[in-house]
Amino acid sequence: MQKSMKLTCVGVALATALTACGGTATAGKSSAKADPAKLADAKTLVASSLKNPDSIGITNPLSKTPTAGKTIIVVGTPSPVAELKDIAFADAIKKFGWTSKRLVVGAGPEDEAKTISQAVALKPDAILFSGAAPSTLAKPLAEAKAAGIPVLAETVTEAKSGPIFDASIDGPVFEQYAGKLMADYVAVKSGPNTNVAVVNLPVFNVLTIYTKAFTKELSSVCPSCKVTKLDQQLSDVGTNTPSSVVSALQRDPSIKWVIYSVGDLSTGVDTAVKAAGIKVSVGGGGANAANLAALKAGTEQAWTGLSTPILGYRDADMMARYFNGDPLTPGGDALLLPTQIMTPATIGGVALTSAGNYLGDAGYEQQFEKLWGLS
Amino acid sequence: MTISDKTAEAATSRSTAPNGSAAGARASRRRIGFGFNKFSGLYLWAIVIVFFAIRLPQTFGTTQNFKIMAGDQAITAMVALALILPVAAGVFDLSVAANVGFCVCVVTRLQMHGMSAPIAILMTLFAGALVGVVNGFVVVRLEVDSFIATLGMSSILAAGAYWITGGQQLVGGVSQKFLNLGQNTLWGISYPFYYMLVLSLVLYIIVEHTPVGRYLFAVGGNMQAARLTGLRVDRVRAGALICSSALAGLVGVILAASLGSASQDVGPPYLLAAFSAVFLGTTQIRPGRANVVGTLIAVYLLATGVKGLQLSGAPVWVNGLFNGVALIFAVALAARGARRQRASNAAA
Amino acid sequence: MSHESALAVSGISKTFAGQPALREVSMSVAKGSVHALVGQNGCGKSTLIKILAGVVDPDAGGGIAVTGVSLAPGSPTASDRLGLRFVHQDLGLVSSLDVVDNLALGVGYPRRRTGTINWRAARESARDSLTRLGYSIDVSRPVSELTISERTAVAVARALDPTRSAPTVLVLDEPTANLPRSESQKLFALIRAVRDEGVSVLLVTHHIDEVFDIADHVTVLRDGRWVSTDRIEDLTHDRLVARMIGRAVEGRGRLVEAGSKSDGAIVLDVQNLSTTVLRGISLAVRKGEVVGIAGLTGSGREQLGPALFGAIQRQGSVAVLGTKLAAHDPHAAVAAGMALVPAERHANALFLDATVATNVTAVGTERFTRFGLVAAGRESADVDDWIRRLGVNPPDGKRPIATLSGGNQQKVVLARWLRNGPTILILDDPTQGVDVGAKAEIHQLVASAAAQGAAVLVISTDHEELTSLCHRVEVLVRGHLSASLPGHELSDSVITAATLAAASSVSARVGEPA
Repeated sequence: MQKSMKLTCVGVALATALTACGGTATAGKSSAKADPAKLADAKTLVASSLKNPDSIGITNPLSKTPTAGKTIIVVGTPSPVAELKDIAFADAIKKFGWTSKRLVVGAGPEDEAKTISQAVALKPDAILFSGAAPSTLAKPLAEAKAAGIPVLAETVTEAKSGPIFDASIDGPVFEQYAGKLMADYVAVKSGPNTNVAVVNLPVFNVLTIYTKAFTKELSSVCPSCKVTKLDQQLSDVGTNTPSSVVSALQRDPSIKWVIYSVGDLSTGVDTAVKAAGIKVSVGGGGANAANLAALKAGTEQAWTGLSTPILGYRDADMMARYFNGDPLTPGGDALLLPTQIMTPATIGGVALTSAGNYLGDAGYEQQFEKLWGLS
Repeated sequence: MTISDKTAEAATSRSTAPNGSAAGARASRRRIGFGFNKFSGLYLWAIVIVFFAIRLPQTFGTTQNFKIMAGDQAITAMVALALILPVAAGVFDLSVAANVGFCVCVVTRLQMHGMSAPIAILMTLFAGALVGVVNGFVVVRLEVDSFIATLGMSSILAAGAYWITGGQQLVGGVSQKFLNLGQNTLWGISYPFYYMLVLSLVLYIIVEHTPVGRYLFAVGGNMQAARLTGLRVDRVRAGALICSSALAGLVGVILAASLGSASQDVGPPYLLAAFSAVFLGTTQIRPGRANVVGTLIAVYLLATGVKGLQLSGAPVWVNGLFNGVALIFAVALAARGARRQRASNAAA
Repeated sequence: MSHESALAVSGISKTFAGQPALREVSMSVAKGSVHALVGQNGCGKSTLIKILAGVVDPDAGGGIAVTGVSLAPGSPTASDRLGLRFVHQDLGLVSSLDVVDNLALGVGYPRRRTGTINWRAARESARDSLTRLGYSIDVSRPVSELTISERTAVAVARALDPTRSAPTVLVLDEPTANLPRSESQKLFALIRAVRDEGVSVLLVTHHIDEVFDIADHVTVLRDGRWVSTDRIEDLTHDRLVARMIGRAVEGRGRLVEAGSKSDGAIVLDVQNLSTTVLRGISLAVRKGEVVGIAGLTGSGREQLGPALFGAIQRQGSVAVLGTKLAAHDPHAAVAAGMALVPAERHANALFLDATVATNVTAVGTERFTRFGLVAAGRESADVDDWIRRLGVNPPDGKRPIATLSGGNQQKVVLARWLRNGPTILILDDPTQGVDVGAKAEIHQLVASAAAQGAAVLVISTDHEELTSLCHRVEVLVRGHLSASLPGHELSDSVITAATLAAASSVSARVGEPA
């Protein structure tokens, strides 16, 4: 299954590159009839997802409270999301009596590998990294294996091997789910023949997985809907992306929705769209604080969120289970983090962090502490 | 020969060979008057507009589209305008885009701390200008090449922006009034376009119609000769850097208002586009020197081409491709024209 | 006889655009001797050297032979192959590179079989070649850290490199121009060391006393003609100077009345001015007075203008109309009414990318502003007026300055300053590279500026210029003002003789012609 995942990623990347010039892909044949059963499923899922999640998604407690005194090195990517997650992780393991140290990765292409090597040299009890492809990290991972240091790789799109233990926290699975959720919402909300522009950053594999999942689900529940792909480069965000989105909307005034595979991509776009006198619904996955504020203001329409505090606690939980020797699939829908569809109507009741980011479940700390036998 | 000399030379392809050849080229430029050399950008722009307007009458050839294009490029144009003063004076300010990003973060963060918008804006302009004071000191007093000094400053500003934001996106905490400054529209075009027009006019007057403009080009043209006419060369060079930095502060404020949020990475991507526009601009209107009108033509020529391609359905990377090709092509054309004139002069 | 000569030149002529620079010059340099070549500026020395180096083609007729082998003219490679080697005044070293690298410039490095540089061999051969010249220098030091005589040694060692062909004649072009006296003694030792290796040395110099220190023979050129070749024992200092000057050139249409201007107010007052070369210069220029400064290259003449203007570091006081000027601040100098037409106008005065008008208006734009904006119409009318007054040709302000001839460019620079009504006008080599007609016009302009009350200081290598233009001429020798020549005594030859005066006589005020 994991191998096929990897192939899918490559396939998606290739397909993205090849269709880039074409730009537009029809989600399904417009003559195809919508499957009423699928639409009904979508409606059910949307209805339940509009509610706040009521749990962190794990129900199995640890076999025992973790032994104190372990040291974990966090190899941190200098992105806002990763940093918030790492802060939550450090906060969580403090409760075990563990200590952590964060090594921040530089911007160079080899920096991730160098930083993990550096982490191995510090001889911690375990290493946590996220996002990077393990296949590019063969050397430092071999070093970690030789040193007997377990590695938790979170939000990676590749098969796990060597010192990496399977912690069931897969970014791809979550992104697939979030993409599907948003597609269902668009289909349910806007009905057939809806035209959607999807803005993506193909440089990040997980985001392409989101895009792919969205497109697939939309064609399934709404064969008459249409998707226009707008792939961006990292340096376009905030500079060229706004004009690129505006151009797409000018080209095809029938576009009703602009969906972003990640919230940061929307920087500056609303202003440009508004200045161009165009009206369009906005939504996507991985809402940032600006998107949530826009939901409150009613200028954007639907987002799902990734709860970085819960993700950080989940990393800590998995590490505790690993050292306890507990099963790493702790019951419930363990692959998924809690998430929900947020709209201007529901945003008022959504749990947010103090900085205005998505939290999802305000009671997450207590729930984790209970699982860990700390309360 | 300094780096700036080299680049200026590359950008305009003027020969530094004493007299003869260069003289011929200059004479020819003059003789042609309203010819292709000076206004190639305008002609090219017209061709691009006509081409896409015919191909895409529904999308490209609409009033609305031209309003969109006008508003879209305001920030890039202002960053490019900020660069004109230092480029004219023969110094580089590579820190200008990072400074814009830094000031976006400063003005947002100050307001999040409860500072009122006008004071936050003033403080930000001051912070931007202060960066220029440091640049000026390093370039003029410590005699570090401006290319290196401002490259270093660029890195420092990126670090500063990261520190201010904590690596996070800053959202909220700014008043709607502040946002209106960047997001409201007048006659269908967003406010920054009008700021850009005012800035262009002011810079145009300074560069072309005040003694300061003369000083800038004197220093940029021959620093030693400028010094020997009693010009305070150091002040001119430092002043140019301070002005570009203060303008970067202004652009930062406008960008913050138009984005509505701040993150540490919004500034730097403007650098390449702005420099391209200034260099492309040196081939237009006043060949061989940085000038306001040429720079604006360059910005909008590139933007029009990109817009047309986008509306034809080209992917986003075409943006960079078009900018790069257009820059090299236009400068090469100008050089070729000059060379050919030189050859015909020599034959005559 | 030619087989005994290292170098034999016979009947060489060269004409530049109708102006003869060399006329039928013949001379020969004996094997293993040091041969001095002397003469005033413009006597044809440099042209002859350039012909030997193959960078200038001689006119048809005549011939050059190196150790009896005829030299194909106009080819640097041919000259090099026959062993003619050159060290120019600027030495041609890259100061940031070390000695080994400098020696390898043009010659290449010793290689290993793998093609990589054999650094050890390179260092050893560098050390060897310098040791043979009597220098022990750490060859890994950058050239910028060496003394001037050490640098000269590096340049000579490179010139004598035998890789391409055995050196036969080493031509040293003004090697001591920038050298302090103590260092020149070291250089003489080096020249003797070269001679003792069997290489002849052709020494081109201004300094008469050096000729007597080092040369075996001396050839004098004047006005492009060969004058004499003598063994040094057969000459005296005065006879050599007389040969260089020839018959006195007197009274060529003086532009200013001879006689002192002691009645005018002192405009420029210089007290105890020193720079890296100048030593304690004191000087006063009065209203309406034209004072000339003469001096050989290296005498500090080149530094005087920039030092007064504040363009280079200086000690001592410079005052204009009683106001003391801040050191190193050209702006203050201009504000006080000082104007400098600098030497080497391309590097120091012209904005070559700009138009004639822009070049004129480089100073004093402020006078044409209204509400901070330049009143373009009024300014361009003023520029046109000055262009016409100074006879700039073509009289077109919009023309690029680079398309003008040297003389007209210089008039533009002059217009820039005269327009500003300077109280003290300093001209540094004002007619260098200017044709005869424009030169006369420039002189006329300077004289009339003085007549209208400006104080003028003319620093020049052109002694005829000084003669026709100045009320008196001050002479710089090795950084000191050695003589003050009053107007009625001025002549080309008097000035030249004074500039050639031995360093020993610096303090003596030379009042009479030699």
